[in-house]
Amino acid sequence: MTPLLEVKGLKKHFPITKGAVIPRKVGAVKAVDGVSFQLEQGKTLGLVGESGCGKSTTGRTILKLIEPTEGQILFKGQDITSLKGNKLRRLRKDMQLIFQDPFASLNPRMTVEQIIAEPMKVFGINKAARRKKIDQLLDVVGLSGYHKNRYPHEFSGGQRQRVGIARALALDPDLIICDEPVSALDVSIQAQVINLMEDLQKEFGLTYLFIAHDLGVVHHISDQIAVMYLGEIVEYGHYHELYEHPKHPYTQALLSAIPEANPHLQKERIVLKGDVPSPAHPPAGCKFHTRCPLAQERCRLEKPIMKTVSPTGQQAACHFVKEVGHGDRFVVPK
Amino acid sequence: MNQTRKKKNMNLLIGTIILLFFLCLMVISFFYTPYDVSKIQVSDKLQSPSLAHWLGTDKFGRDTLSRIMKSTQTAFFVGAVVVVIGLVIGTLIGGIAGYIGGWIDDIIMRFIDAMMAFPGIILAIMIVAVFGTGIINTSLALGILTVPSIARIARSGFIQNKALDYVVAAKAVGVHPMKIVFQEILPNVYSQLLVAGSIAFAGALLAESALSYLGLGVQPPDPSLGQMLNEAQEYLTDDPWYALAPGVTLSLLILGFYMLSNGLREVLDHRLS
Repeated sequence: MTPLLEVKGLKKHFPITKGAVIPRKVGAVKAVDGVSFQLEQGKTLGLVGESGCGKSTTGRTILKLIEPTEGQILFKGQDITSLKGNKLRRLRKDMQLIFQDPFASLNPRMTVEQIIAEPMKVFGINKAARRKKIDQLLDVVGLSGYHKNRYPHEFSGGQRQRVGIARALALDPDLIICDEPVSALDVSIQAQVINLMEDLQKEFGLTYLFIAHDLGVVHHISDQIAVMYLGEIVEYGHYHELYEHPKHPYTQALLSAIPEANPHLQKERIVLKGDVPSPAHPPAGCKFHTRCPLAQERCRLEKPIMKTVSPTGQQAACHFVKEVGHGDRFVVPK
Repeated sequence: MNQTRKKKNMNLLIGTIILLFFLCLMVISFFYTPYDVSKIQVSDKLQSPSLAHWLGTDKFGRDTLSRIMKSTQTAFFVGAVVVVIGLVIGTLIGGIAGYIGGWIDDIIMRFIDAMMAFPGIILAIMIVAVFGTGIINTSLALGILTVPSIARIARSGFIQNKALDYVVAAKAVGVHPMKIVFQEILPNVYSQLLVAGSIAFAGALLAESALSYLGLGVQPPDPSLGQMLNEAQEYLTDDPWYALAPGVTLSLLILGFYMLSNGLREVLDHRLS
């Protein structure tokens, strides 16, 4: 079966230019630097990583809101990388986006009804059908009919996010790219929205690319998880396996940072040194070597490739991945 | 907090009252003025305010109140034309520059900068000198001069809004770029443009008076506040009423528009935040 979405070697480099009159390229921010993954119909892929690692850019490039520099995007088996104009517009019906900031993502001058109706207007759905669909969508996302004529500023963050979800669902898309949909919400509201998204997935057979920096949230909703660092996927695997047996030292560090509900549980916390290096000048070799507690000479020189590290298909890009065994934390190679 | 809220509304309230008063005066002047505005009655010249002539008479014995009423027509006409020209062209140019960005933005904005570098009134005098005097030419000249400042405000509004997620959302469903500009972003820039428009109105009134004062604006016998001030100038010490009436009228009008714009800004900002 062909996956719903397949991304092959996706790259997005933003040029850095100098000179006001005749701009010349002096470098590039490698926001996304060779990302590949597959996503099957009805599944959820969690994409995690620190701020600035290229998660959102990956999402927006797949939606073709940003032109990719290199690589291929296959949607339902069709190469959409170079689609333009009307063909691209038709494609937009099948992929939608849910945003991080529910305050910026809704037009403050439009009523909820207008906001949800907009995608349907673009695709020429008539007024009666739009009305019916809006009522249905509001019901599905847990809002009431009388909310229709209100403006976004009259709602709370969680309610606004529900409006955003209703808009994303208006055209019955197959794929929804969720760009940190709950990170701007209170924890109690986060759970509500996540549960809603799960229910909707079951009801409509949706496929999610779920971008987040919170591993707890991702664990809850994802089937597969990909961990990104500086524009590259460093580890990929089934959510359970990845959480129980992280192979890449970066994943291990991220997982050790999840807060624990039990205050008496002593956890070994791996604190990474320094900041994420600039994506304009990524380190040579393994991009993580500047902060990696395991780093050796080899890491500075040679770039590790993704290799399958378990029978279930978990993959990691680390030279020492075999030495980091099940259950062990760090075994520094001799 | 409560105090400041009240004060904010006061701006809007007083500004609106002043402007409504003059607007009524203007509407009445279409149907009725106490005396004929251009009827010369030399025997009544340079009178102080009296029951017969509430605001006195000018050097030809024409009734000042009637002339002020009539000149509000000119003032509002010029102001309205200027604001409409400024808002329509300014928003279009600024919107294109802001939304598209890149080298188009650079070229448009350098052009706007060049226009702004000229002292406005001198440019207006130049335009009037080339195309001739008269109320229409004055309005057009002043309208063109309002374009740069409005264009800048529109541009900054569009730049601010185009990066917001709701615009990305519209793009993601494939909304046509023209619709994004006019239906999505423009309503969010309205409030800023409204404030800029009311300030431009006040500026236009002042500029029109200045041009008329110099004899380059509205031509006699049509009355205009600037022209009346010019005529009154030589009688300033002996007959202060002559200059005071049009002077106070002009000041009040401008004050009204500034208070309106301040009030609008506060009220609109308050609601949006």
